[in-house]
Amino acid sequence: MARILLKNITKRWGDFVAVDRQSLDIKDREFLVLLGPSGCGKTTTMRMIAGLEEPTAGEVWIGDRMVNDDLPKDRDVAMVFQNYGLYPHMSVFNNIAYPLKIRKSVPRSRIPELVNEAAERVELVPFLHRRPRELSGGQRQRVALARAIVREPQAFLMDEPLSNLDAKLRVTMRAELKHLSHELQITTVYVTHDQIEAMTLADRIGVMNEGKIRQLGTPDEIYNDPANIFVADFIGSPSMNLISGRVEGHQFVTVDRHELTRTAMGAMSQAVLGVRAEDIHVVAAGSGDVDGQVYAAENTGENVVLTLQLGGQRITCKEDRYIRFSIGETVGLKFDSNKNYLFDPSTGDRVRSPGN
Amino acid sequence: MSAASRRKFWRTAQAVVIVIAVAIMIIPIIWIFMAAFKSHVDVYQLKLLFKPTFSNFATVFASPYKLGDKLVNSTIVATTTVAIAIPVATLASYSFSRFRMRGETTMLVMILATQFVPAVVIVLPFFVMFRDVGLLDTRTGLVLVNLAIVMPFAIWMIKGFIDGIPIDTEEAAMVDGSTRLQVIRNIVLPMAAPGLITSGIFCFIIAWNEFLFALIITNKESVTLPIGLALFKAEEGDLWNLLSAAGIIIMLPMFVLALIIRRHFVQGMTMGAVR
Amino acid sequence: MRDNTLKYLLVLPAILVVFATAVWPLIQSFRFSLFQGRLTRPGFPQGFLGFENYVWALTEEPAFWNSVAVTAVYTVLTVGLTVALALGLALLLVPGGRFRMSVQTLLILPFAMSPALIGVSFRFMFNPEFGLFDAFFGLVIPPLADISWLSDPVLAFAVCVMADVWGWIPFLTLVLIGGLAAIPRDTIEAAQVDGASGWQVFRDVTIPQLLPVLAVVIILKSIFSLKTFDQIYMLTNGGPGTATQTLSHYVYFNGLKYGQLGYSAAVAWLMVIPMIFLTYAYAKLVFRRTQQ
Repeated sequence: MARILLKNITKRWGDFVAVDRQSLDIKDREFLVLLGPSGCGKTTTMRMIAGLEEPTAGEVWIGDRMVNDDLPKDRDVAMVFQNYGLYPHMSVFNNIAYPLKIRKSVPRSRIPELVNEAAERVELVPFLHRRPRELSGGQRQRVALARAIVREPQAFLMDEPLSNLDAKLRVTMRAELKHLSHELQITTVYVTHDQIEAMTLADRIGVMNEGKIRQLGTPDEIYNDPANIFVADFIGSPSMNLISGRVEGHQFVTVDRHELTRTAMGAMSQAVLGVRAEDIHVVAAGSGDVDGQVYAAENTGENVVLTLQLGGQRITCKEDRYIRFSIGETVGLKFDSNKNYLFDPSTGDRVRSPGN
Repeated sequence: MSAASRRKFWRTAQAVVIVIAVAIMIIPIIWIFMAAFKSHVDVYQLKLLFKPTFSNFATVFASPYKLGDKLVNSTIVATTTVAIAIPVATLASYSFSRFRMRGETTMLVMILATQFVPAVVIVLPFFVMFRDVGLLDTRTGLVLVNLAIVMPFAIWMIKGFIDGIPIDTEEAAMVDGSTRLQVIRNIVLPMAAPGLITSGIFCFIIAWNEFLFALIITNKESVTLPIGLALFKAEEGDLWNLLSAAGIIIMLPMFVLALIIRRHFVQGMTMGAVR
Repeated sequence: MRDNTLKYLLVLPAILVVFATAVWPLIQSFRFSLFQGRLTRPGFPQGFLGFENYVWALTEEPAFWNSVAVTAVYTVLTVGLTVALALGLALLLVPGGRFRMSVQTLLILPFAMSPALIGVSFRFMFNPEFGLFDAFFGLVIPPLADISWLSDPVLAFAVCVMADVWGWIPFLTLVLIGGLAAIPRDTIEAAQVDGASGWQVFRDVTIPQLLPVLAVVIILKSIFSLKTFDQIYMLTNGGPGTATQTLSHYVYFNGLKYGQLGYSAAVAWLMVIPMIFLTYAYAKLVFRRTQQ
């Protein structure tokens, strides 16, 4: 169990910068999720912690040791791979036992007991004699987990561990992972592109893009207090409405001169307004802040996602599932003036009023 | 030693071993190239620097060696073999790849097995038969025996390539109204073309380099290049500069062909499983 | 035309060609093996002998057993050396990169060389007066300087083995690189993280997963070693004496030089026996792999 510290690590392949002078302090026992689109450098960051990739510059610390020069085997971390990385020629038992056998960290006689214990935690006991190819996807995933938890490493590294499972199984495994991490209390770095996984599992999330962490914070902070357009856009489903325009006298005006909502800032010549779909309400035409036409109405079952045409803009909002709309219908939109974010389009950063 | 310098040491050591291995692989070839341009005197000394001459090539093409005739024989035999083997093998491979047939596995294993039969076993009956029907020392005879080597190989290899073509396109064409033969002509052949060319080149190389059959069946008229090498074993010893020049004429075209198909090399070789 | 008819029509020409050029001669040569068949005499084949040709080879001919021994030792040595060296080279080359890729391209060249030509080149290389390898070996191991390699039974045999290994390493290396590249990278990384050293990863993860390809390579090489002819013919022609006379060469010599066709056919058929086992093993492996 240990704290993991990254000091200005960079990874370059030729001209391509995968990770760009990134520092990160992962606390002991923390569950940290690196979230981002593919190619953002999240997996590379994790692989540098594991020692599978050598940083071009910077330092990696695990516990109180600088591990840059250590081979993966000497870093004492356990890793769950996206495609599980199971040994196809070994039984499930031997897969799980392998790290114990090779490390000789426990006496040989204790191995069966430990393997059984790990297998029990992930409900694999009936399958111990099978080969990986005779298992289902979910079971393989459990073998990979068991192989990681069979010993007590300094940290767990998980690289998109749920991405190869079908949607239903993913939800189940997510809950099991959450439970497991609560039980084991071991520092965990978890890489994913799935924001729900990130939101549900993480103590803290680092949202990455183009080789850098764009915001680091609790799920709550990331969702409710995005630091820039990238994070605002990436988190949330449907994704946040980002509307271009300007601010005049605490009023946001779109590029085609629709007045939308009051803002905290007094004046901005160029601004991007961010509003979440659930913070816009549909009211009768003429009675809201602005009117728009229904472009599409999608019933997801739990609610209705409405896309509205407002001049050249499209705005999505979420409505109660019992309300029905027809395409082309004119409706009014009511904005929640406390729940909007302003961004500077030139930097992409959030603009906050001094008192806010 | 620090980790970084240890890594560097290993990297360098590996590179050195690779370079040595490549040298062992390439130097004999280079040596032959050099010898082919050496004069009769220079070749009998371990000389790196020498005055290059083209006279060896002139000599091997002139009488009494007449390597040109052998070159023509090799080209005709290899080309004809490929021209027969590839179309016949393609049709069969398509069928093996796309249909289930009674005895399919038996047929495929039988075809594979003939590949592994020592050439000396099948050459004896051919020799007797050719002697009786007058095919000894003819290019026709050579093409026939070369087919024995090349056919099984071509069938397996092309089958591998066709297996790799997704069946959807064919099904789409049939839904759109094509007959099976139209599908083969309009869809499969264009899509399999790179594989067919690769297989053709492989077969060409095999037929070109074929030795045992040509040794036994040819004598004067239809001698091929590899057998032609024996011409340069004279009473007074081997004529190395001429042997080398002939060697270049044999291997250079094959080098070019091998480089053309290098991307499919391993795939093809393991599927055809032959040399 | 219905697919059901068409599918047999499509394979028919190929089956006919294979039958005429391979199966028929095989049967025919078995028939020869049961007769007294002297090419030089009229009325070939002459008298029916049953299996006497086989019995003769197995009991009365030390030359036959000599070539069995030569072929066996030759096969074991060439298979062992080629596979081991090719595996080493493949491991060195598999990481990729521009340098290694261009080396892989170079490896294709020796493949395109005809075995006969390889035989010629090695005779050239080991010439005691001006052979390149001879000079090299003489430099490294002085007692070997200016030795007439091909007149010494043991050394001639060694040169034959070297020529064969030289000719086959590039191809097997490329096949093994293909096999190594097909091993999922994450299994190797998982082992590294699990705590295995470089050697342990190789032993516990790489080799077991390479085993099917390795088996194919070993069987394939064995088949081709067993029937070696071209290089030997050009390099030593079986000599000195019969020190490098492989079975193929023995059959060729007896059948076509001495005209004992019946007897040769019998020996040739004796060669077919180990081939049947190897082919069976190979077919099993290939079919299992294509079905996966």
